[in-house]
Amino acid sequence: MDKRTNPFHDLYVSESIGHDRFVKLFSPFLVEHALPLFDSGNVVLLGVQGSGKSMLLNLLKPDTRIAYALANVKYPVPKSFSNFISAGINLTRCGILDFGQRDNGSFADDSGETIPIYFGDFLNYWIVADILNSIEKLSANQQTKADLFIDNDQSIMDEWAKELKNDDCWFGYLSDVTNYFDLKKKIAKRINDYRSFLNFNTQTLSGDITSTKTSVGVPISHTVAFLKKYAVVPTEVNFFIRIDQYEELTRLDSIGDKASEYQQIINKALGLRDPNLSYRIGSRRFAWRKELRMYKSGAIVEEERNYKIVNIDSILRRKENRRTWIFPDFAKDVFDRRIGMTDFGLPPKNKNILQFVFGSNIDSVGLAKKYAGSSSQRLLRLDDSWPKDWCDFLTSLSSQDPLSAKLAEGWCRQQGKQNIMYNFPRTPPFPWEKTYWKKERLDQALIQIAARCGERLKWSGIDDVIALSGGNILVFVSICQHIWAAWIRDMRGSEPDTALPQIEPELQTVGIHEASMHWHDKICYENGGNDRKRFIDYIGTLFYQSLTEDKAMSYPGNNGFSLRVSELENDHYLRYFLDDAVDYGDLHDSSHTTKTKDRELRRKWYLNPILSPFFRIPVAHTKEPMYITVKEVRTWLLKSQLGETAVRKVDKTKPDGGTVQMPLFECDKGKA
Amino acid sequence: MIGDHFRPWGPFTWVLDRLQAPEWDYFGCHSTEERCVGALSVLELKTKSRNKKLVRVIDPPSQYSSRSESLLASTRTQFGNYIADDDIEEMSLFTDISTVAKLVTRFVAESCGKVVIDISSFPKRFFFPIVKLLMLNDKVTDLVATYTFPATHSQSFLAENPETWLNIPMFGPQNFPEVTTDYAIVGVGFHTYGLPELLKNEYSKSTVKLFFPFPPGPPSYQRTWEFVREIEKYYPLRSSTQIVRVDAHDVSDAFSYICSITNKGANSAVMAPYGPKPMSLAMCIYATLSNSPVYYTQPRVYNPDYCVGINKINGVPDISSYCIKLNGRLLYSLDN
Repeated sequence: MDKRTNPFHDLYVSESIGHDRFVKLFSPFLVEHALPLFDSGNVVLLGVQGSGKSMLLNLLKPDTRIAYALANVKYPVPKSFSNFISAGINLTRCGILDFGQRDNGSFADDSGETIPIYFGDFLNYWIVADILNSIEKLSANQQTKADLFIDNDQSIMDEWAKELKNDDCWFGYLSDVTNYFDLKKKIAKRINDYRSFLNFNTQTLSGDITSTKTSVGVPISHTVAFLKKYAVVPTEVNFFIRIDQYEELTRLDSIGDKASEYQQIINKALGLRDPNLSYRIGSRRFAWRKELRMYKSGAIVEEERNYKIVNIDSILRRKENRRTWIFPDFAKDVFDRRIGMTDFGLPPKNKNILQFVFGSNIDSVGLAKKYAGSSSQRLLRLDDSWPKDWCDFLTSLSSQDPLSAKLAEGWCRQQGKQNIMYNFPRTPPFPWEKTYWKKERLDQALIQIAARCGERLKWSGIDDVIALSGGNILVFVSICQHIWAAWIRDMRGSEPDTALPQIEPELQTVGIHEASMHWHDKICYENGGNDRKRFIDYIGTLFYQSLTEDKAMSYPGNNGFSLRVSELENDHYLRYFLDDAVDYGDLHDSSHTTKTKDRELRRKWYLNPILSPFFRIPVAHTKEPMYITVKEVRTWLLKSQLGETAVRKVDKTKPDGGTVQMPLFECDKGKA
Repeated sequence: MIGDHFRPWGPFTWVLDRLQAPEWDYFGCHSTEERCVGALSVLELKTKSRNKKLVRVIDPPSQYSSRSESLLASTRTQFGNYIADDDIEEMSLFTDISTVAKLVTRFVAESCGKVVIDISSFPKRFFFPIVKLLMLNDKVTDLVATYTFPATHSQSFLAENPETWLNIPMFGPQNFPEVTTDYAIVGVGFHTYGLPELLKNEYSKSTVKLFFPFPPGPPSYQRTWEFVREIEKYYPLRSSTQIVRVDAHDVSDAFSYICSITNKGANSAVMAPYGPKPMSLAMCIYATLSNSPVYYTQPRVYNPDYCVGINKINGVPDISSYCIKLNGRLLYSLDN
C-alpha cells in the first residue's frame, strides 16, 4: 500500500475487498462478548449505527465463513458455537414493504386484513430460498462443507424435495414439484409473482398464491426439519434466521400504515419458540421496544422467554469502572489490523501501535499554556471591585501557570470563598488546587481559557481519541481516517518515511475537528435527522455558553441534562424524540442517582462525544448535569425547531443577564 | 433510419408547434413553487387543454406548514381560470401509491390520449409511478413530459428528514433469484442524504456511475461537486469514467448513456435519482422498460421555498419538453 494511501479510507470492511484482505481487516474482537448470538435461541442485537452490530451479524453469513476458509484462516467463532447455518432477509431491500402500496381491492380476498399474512408468506418463501442458497454456497467450499457435515447430494435433495412438497404447511402450492430443481424454481416463481404484483406490473395475485398463504415461520421450520431428517445437515446444526432492517419499520411513512402489523408478524415467528430455528434481529435500543405484540394475539414477546438481548452499546460504552471497559482493546485491534495492511515499518512487537501513533494526551497545565500563549492575562476576567493585591497576584500567576490562575479566579467567585481575595497564600499549595475541586473543574477551566484567548480546543493523544469515539467503532475509524488525512496533507511534497508515523498533536487536532464536523453534518442524513440536528445545535450551543459564562465554575457538569423519569413518562412525544436521538447516536443516555431530596429516578443525556470538538465542550461527565424539567426541554425543542439560537447568560451577578436559562438552575439557586 | 431513433425534445412551445395536436390533457402538480404554473400556462396559450388533473402534495406537518399554505394560495391564484378547484386532488406525501394509480386510471379513461405530464414540481415518489403508468397505458397515444427550470434554487436545505434508502413505489426489485448488481447509477444533485454510506454498504461489489449535470454552472456546480466529494469519502472512485457528464436538460441523451452502460439492459443496474429532474426522468423511463429498481431516501418535508420563480430565456419561460410516446409508439426502448 502506498504510504500516502489512508489505511482508514474505507470505513467499512466488506467482502468486496477480497477474502484475504477481508479476514485480515475483519475484527472478531466482539465475538466472545456476544456469544449468545452464536448459540441457539432467538437473539435481538441492540446497538446504534457503527456499534459493530452489522459486523457481528455479517459473521453469521455464509460468505464471511467461506472467506475465512478461502483465506485458510481459522473462523473466529469458537468451535463449540460455530455449528450453524444462517439465512436472512433484508426488509428494506427485498420489496416486501410494498404490500402497503396496493389497495385492498387488488387482493383476491378483497381485504386489507390479509396484507400482513401475505407479508408473512413472502418472508417464508424468501427465507426458505435463502436457506437453500446458504447450503449450496457452504457446500461449494470443501472446508465449510466438511466443518458442517453437509451432504446435499443431488439424489438426497431430490428425495428431500419430494417429501417436503407434500407437507401441509404449503397448502398444496408445491404439489407439482418433482425434484429439488423444480422446488427451487417454484419458490422463485412465487417471489417473482409477488414482486410483479408489488411493482404494479400485474394487477392481481394469482389464485394459486391467494389460496395457499402460509403461516409465518412454519414452512421455514419444516424445511429445516426435513433437511435434518434427510441428514443434509446433522441434527445439531443451528439455523439462524437474520431479519435485517426490522428497526426501520416503525420509522417509515412510505410503507403505509401496516408497519406495526409487519413487526407483529415477525414477533409471532419469535413467539413460536421453534427448536429448529433461532431468529437474529438487529435493532436500535428503543426501536425494538416500540412493538412487542404478536400478530392476532393478545400476547407480547418477552425477553428471556422468547428472546435474549445482546446490547452492544452497553458492552462498549464506558461505565464508572474503567477496568471493565473493553472498547479500548477493540479499537486497538481494529487499529492494528488496518496498520498491519500497510507497508510501514512497525515498532517493536511489544509496543502499543495505537499509543505509538497518537501518543499521550497533553497535560492540562501544558494545554492551558498553549491556549494562553504569550499574553496570558487575557484569560482572566477581573472585577473592578476586587483588591488590587489579589488582581496583581492573579495576573502574575497567569503568566506562570494559566490554569491555576483561572481556577483561582473561579474559586474566589464561589459563594463563601470571597475572603480568599484578602488573605491568600502566595505560594502552593493553593486551596483551588485541592484534588477533587480542581479535577472536577479542569475541563471547564480549559474551555474558559481557550474561549478568552480565542483558541479552539486541542484534542490529541490516545485517551482523547478513545473518549471521543464514545464506544463506537465507526466513530473511532472515522477519527483515525481524518487524522491520517491531515497527516497526508501535511507531508505533501516530502518523501514518505518508511517508519510508522507518530502524528503530531497539532495535526491530530485538525483531523479530530474535521471528524467532529463530519459527524455533525451526518446527523441529518438519518430519518428525522434535520429536526434532531436543530435540537442538538441548540443544546450544544447552550452547553458551551453555560460552561464558558459560569465564571464561578459552579456547574462544571453543564454539558448534559437530567430529567425525572416519572415526568418524562407522561410526555410521550418528548420521550419518543429523546429516545430517537439516543437510537440514532446523537445523544447518549443513562440512568443516574439523583442528588435532590426527592430521590426520584432520573435519566441524563449527553451529546455524542464526537460532537464535543464541534461544540467546544468537554467529553467527560463531571459532577451533576443540568437538573431541569420536561417543560424546559420542550421549550428548547420548540425554539430549536423555530430556528432560534440558544442565547443565555448564567452569571447571576450580571444585571443584564438573560432570563431564558435561569430556571434551569432552580434546584441550585444561591450556590454560585 | 433516424425516424426510428429520434426522440423530439426542446422548448415546450417549439415542440407543441410541431406536434400540432388541437388539444391535450394535462396532468400536473399544484405546489408551493411558482414554476408549477409554467407548463399549463403555455399549453393554454398555444393550444387547448381539455382535461386537467393536478395533485396537491401535502407534506407532514412541520415548521414550514404555514409558509406552504400561503405559497399554495399564491400559486393557486396564478393558475387562475386555467383550472377549477375540482381539478385539484389533495394527497399526502406518503399516500399509498394505489391511490395515485386510481387517479391516473380515471384521468386516462377520460383522456383524448394525448397527455402532457408536468414533472416540474412533483416529488419523485409521485412522478415516477405516474410516468410509468402513462407509458404503459395503451390508451395514451402521445405522452410529453415537461419540466420548467426555476430562476433559483434555495441555498439552504431543499428537503429534510430523509427516510431510509427504500425503493420508490412500483420500482422495487423484480428478478429472483437476485444477482449482484453490476451498476449503481447515481444522479448527482445537491444533497446526498446518507447515500455514500449506502453505496459502500450495499453496492461495494457494483460499479458506481455518477451522472454529473453538464455543463455545470454557478452556483450549482459547487454543490454538485460537493455531492461527489461526499461520495468519494466513503466510496473511492477508482476511475475517471465513473463520473459521466450528462446534459441536465437532455433526457434522451441520459437514457442513451444508461443503455450504453448497461449494454442495453443486459447488465443489472439500480438507479438513485438525486440529480436534476430531467435526468431522473431518463432513469424512470429506463427503469420502467428494464424493470430496474429505483432507490431513494425520501424526504419527509420539502422546503416550500425549494426554488423561486421561473427561469426565462429572452423573456420566454424556460420549459423543456420531452416526447416519450407519439402516435401510439414508445420512442424509448432498450434497443436504441
